[in-house]
Amino acid sequence: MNAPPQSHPPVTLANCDSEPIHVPGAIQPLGVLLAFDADGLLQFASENAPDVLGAPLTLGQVCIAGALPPSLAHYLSVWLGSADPIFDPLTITLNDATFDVIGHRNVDGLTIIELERRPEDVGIADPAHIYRSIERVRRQPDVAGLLDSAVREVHRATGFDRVMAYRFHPDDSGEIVTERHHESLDDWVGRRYPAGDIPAQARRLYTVNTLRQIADARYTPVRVLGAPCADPKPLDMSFSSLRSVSPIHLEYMANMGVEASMSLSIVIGGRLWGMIACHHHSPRPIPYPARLACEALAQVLSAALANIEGAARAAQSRRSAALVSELTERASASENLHLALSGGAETPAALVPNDAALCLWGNSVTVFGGIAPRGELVGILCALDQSGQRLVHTDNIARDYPGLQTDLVPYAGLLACKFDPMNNGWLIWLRKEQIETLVWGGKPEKQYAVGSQGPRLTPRGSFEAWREVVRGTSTPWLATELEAADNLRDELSHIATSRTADVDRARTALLAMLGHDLRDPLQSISMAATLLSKTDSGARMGERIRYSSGRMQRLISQVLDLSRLQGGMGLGIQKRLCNLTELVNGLIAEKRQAYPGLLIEPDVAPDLELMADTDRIAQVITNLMSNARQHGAPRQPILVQAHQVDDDIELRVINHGAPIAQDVLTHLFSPFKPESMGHSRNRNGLGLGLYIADQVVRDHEGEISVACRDGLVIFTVTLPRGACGASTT
Amino acid sequence: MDEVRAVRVLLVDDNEMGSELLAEFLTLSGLEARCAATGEAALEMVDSFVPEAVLVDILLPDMDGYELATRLRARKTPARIYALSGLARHERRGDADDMFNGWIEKPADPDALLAVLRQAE
Repeated sequence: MNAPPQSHPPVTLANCDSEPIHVPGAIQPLGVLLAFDADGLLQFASENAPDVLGAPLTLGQVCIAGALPPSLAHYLSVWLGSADPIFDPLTITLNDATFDVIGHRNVDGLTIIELERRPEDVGIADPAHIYRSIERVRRQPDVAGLLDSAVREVHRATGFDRVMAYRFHPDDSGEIVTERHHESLDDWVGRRYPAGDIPAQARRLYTVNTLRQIADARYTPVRVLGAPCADPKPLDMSFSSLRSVSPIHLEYMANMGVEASMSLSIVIGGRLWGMIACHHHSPRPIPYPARLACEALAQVLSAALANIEGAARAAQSRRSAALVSELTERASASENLHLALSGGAETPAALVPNDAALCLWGNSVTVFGGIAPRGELVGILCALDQSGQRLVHTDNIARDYPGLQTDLVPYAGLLACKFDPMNNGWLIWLRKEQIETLVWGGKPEKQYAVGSQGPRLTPRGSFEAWREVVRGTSTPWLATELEAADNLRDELSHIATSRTADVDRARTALLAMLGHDLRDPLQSISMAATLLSKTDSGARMGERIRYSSGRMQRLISQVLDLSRLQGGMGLGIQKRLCNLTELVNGLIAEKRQAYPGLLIEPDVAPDLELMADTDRIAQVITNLMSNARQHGAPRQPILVQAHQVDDDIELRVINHGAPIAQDVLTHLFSPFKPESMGHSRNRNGLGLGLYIADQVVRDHEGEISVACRDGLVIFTVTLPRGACGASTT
Repeated sequence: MDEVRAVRVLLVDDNEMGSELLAEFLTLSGLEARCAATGEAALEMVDSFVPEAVLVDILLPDMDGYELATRLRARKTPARIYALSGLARHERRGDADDMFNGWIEKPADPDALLAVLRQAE
């Protein structure tokens, strides 16, 4: 028999996740492995096969008559012709020893037959007892009960020194949740292992082949030899029960003083959910029939867990939905969103597991539970808002938002969502670092002798590795939790949006009403003043009243325009053909009449026409001329220029005067400029004039700009002429 | 004795104080002005007063200014009809420009108003 070439490099901790553990090229020495191709040619055989069978075997050939025990030879011919990849078990006797014959077809179409020598079954339950105990497991109503009962029954059935139930967390890290062990052993419940302790390919094998035993960890592997072949392909042993295991795993067992193990996978929805793991401190082979019964128990356990988890998920999602709807109802019945959220038995804190839950609304912070983080919430959320996502979440603030780490002390995980952009309304859930609440549960580790891979391969080493992996990390935010938070955000945001719209509508309506209702008394005042100024004694008084009512009128107009602009309604520009030359000259004449000493030097080209809202353009020009008059150097002329440049009209209003200061320039076209707030030098309005002028010009697809040079302040308005070229009115 | 007859203006507005003040101003300026506080009152007056210009407020108690303008035109009243209203541009009806000879915003500049009305001469 020829040995296939060994090509895999030595396995170490660094490369164990690429170790091809499904093709180990060896078995545990509990029996014999044979693999036949579809033609019945022996393609692989364990090195010990001729000895155990007491007959010569030739790889690459059909087994000669008498080489296999008669019953096996008979079944082999049946199995080779069967399409079903799983074969019924068989028991045979060879040299007074009983062998379980376990057959299956592997992914490459080879029929694999394993003969496993039946060990003594002292202290191991009869399979019938195990099948009966499945009933006890199945009756448990909850996850903890199921796992505990499964551990108890497996412990009873197999007599292992230690039987544990592992549960894998969403990040695939493992936790021991319950165990039964010999009284001389430490308690291991609560111990944690990083996801990397089960490399990806091992996790896959655990998922598809749900029972694995190592009867004696100090075994010497028996090589599996292949038939000579031009293109040798290793034997895929994914579903083999005698498969030899990774040396890394054996070293781990040796470090723990464990000499035998068995594991039962708990697979839910194709994912390795957990595991029943058994340890023994001396070799302990479990007879195949008992293993089959344990495997059946594990499958019933998986199904029961899947049911409970499914029901729990459904119940959780019903609870979330009920809570979201209760909170929504409360919020919509109240004027004040954040008070509404905290003003009941249930708050958003109940929606998602957390160590703190808060709400920011405007500048007020409501704490539903836990304590607020160290930094100022407004600043933290402002930084988070940069992402532009409606839901921000991280289970590692230091990694994802290093700038916020100090502000968010003592938290490591954050889930935040903005439900009210107008009022800066946010909901925030925070979680602490998971390590903080989890310390090494065991007594100081016994000083085990460690192997060539060092102390990493001990439970303590695993725990330290897990601590490294999860340092600064909170428990992850689950998809269902994110969904619940997003649902609440969605509902609250609808309320906030409609409320903002209501407030906007009310404000706009109020201002509009105020706007036209004020015009009637203004009309009366204006008329009264006009009449008064027609008498000798009332002349000056009348002028003053007219001036004041004119000012009031401008203020009203500006406030109305501002409210329309801020409400997103625009200025309602209506473009018509507009003779700009007439308009500008008319406005200059008006200004001269109103301010007889004022010098205005016009330079306006004849017959300038454009498509524009004449009233609004007049408003812009009036505003620029008023500014020039108020801010320009006294007794210096105001220059008003209008010319056609290509398809645009350029209009300039220029006054003599000192340059505008840089900080004023920055806010020149903004509403509510710092320099016009708080003092009243601007007698003509709210400082909104340039803001509105800018909006008017923009609405005409034009531009307004300012430049200061040579002792002049120059405002330039560029307006496209629009489609008026053909008109000659 | 004047050869030029004074322009007759009918003011229709339920803000009677404002209306009276305006009428007084127009009278002082040499025009002849009458006031009506409702649309119906205005419609009753046009036959006897025969105004050359009518200033119509839009928000009247019995009908709106648009309806009044329409009914005045239906009677073939030979007057120019102006809206005199505090309604902002966006609050006006889309066909407002076609219904009136002009739209004068409240508060109106007295001299500009006078200039508009004198065009009727």
